[in-house]
Amino acid sequence: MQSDDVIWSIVGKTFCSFRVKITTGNFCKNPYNLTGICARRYCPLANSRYATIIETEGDCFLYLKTIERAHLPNAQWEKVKLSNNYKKALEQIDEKLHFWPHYLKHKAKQRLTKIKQYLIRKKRLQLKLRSKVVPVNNKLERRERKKEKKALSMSKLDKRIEEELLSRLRSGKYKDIYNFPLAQYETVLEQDKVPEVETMEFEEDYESDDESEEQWEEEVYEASEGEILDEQQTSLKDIEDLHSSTYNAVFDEDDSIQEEVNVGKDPTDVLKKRWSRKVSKHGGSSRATSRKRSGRREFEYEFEDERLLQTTD
Amino acid sequence: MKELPKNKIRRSKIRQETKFMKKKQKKKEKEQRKREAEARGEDWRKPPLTLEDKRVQIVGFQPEDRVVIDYTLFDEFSDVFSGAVIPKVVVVPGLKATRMTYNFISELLQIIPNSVFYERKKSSLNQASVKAAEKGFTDVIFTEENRKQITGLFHVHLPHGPCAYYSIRSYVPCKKVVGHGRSTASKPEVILSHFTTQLGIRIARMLGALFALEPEYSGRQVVTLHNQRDFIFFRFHRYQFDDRGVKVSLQEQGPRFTLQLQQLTKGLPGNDDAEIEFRKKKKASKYEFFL
Repeated sequence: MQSDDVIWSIVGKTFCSFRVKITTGNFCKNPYNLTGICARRYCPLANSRYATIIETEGDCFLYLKTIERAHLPNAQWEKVKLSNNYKKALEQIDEKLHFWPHYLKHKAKQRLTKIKQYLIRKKRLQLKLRSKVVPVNNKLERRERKKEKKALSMSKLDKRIEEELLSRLRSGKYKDIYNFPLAQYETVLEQDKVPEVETMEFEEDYESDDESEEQWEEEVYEASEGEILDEQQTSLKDIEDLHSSTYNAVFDEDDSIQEEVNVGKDPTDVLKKRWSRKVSKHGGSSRATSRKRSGRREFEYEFEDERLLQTTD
Repeated sequence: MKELPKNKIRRSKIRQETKFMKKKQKKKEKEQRKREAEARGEDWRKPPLTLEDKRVQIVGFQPEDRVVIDYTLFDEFSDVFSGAVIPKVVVVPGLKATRMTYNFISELLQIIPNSVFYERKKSSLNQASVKAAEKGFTDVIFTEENRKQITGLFHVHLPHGPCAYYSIRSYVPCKKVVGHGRSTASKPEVILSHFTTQLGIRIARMLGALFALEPEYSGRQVVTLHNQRDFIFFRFHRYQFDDRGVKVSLQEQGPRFTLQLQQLTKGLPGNDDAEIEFRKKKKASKYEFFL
């Protein structure tokens, strides 16, 4: 039935669909091949005595060819599960391939070590914090760019900012910092034809006496401290003192924080460190190269796998 | 329709004539309208229709009475606005950070008062934000970089979230801004403008919480976050009133960039089951705006 020489004379000498010819040599694409090399010794078709190791979902199996069942390709290979322990697995191979040629035993062990190594590497990579690669649709991006441009022109930003600042000035937000004469203000307001409501607000604010300021300061104090003060007990001076003291306290904390900033690392320092390592390797601009590429680009976005993080803990 | 003659020349002549007459009629009507409008004292031209005019009304849309920083409102940011908690911000670079990121961060640190830089050191978003909350920070900002360009920004409010993810587009560093000035260390005031919906106000409050310290008005610096069609434009200016207090002159200090909200989730990042408040649709209507 099974004649190894006949099979090899056909498969090895004439044509084999599993064979891949490249300049470095002939390779085999058969999934049961032990080494991946196309040779008389390692051909899974032309050997009636053959063994290989295959990994499925993290488990290694020793596949032994039983030539008596060659007419049943489904049942041709006998599967032996190898232990997860590397040493025990080697012993298992030794035991199963006891009277087999040395080269087969040796190659099987080599294959097992290789598989074990890549499994370990795979696990380590999974534990690492990685970023997810997400495709970016260039066409959508282009559309968004156009929309942004139109929105910007629609917003009239500078004009809006100026109006907002002026309205803040008129509403008396800046208090004593600016000292513009009242008469000119009113003339300007008449010129501008500001709506009535706004002028009313302005007048009220401007004409307000010390009492209103007092109230304002109280409010600020209450808001900042979250306490309720009795109006009868505290005079204006007390409030001012309290307010100034809280203000100082805030500033003291600020100073400490600023010190922290100075003590802590500066982003530019980190940068300098990095750049000192790779001195002036970058010649061309990377931006130009990125622009040249067309079609779908891929961006990396950060993501986390909860399961993996838990395993690390 | 009246049947046209079979002769081509005559047919074309008739067509030309009708076209001419139509044009004439239109012109006449237009002049009539113009005269009537002028008699009434109005502008005869119609104002052009914009996307804002055609905007789809969504739930929680309230363009009229919007108060961005409302002290009576109770949410995650009310502590910061009331002054019970002093805002303290950390800026952390993304995983693969290059010089672009570090430049961007140093610019952010100049703008945001009371902000500190920390290194990432291979910690996840969740780990980093939990640690920052332990240290008493109120906000964390993670930057994101792809192909040497700033592309995104995670903003997490501490200690209980929410977490917003923005994409950054058209970032212009300080140096590239034409005629830019130099910023000072004084705390800037903030303009949060044109946030029209509930979600928009929430976002505005979240962003405003970064700058919630009492501004130093003598510094004359202003940060603007203006929303237009779901693009949030960031600008940083120095201003000066003229002698009479009628005009303002602005000088941009940079940087400028545009934020586009991609996602807003409750809680800290790294939780897949967290409630998603907003996620940007890929195919939304042209007239639908959420902020």
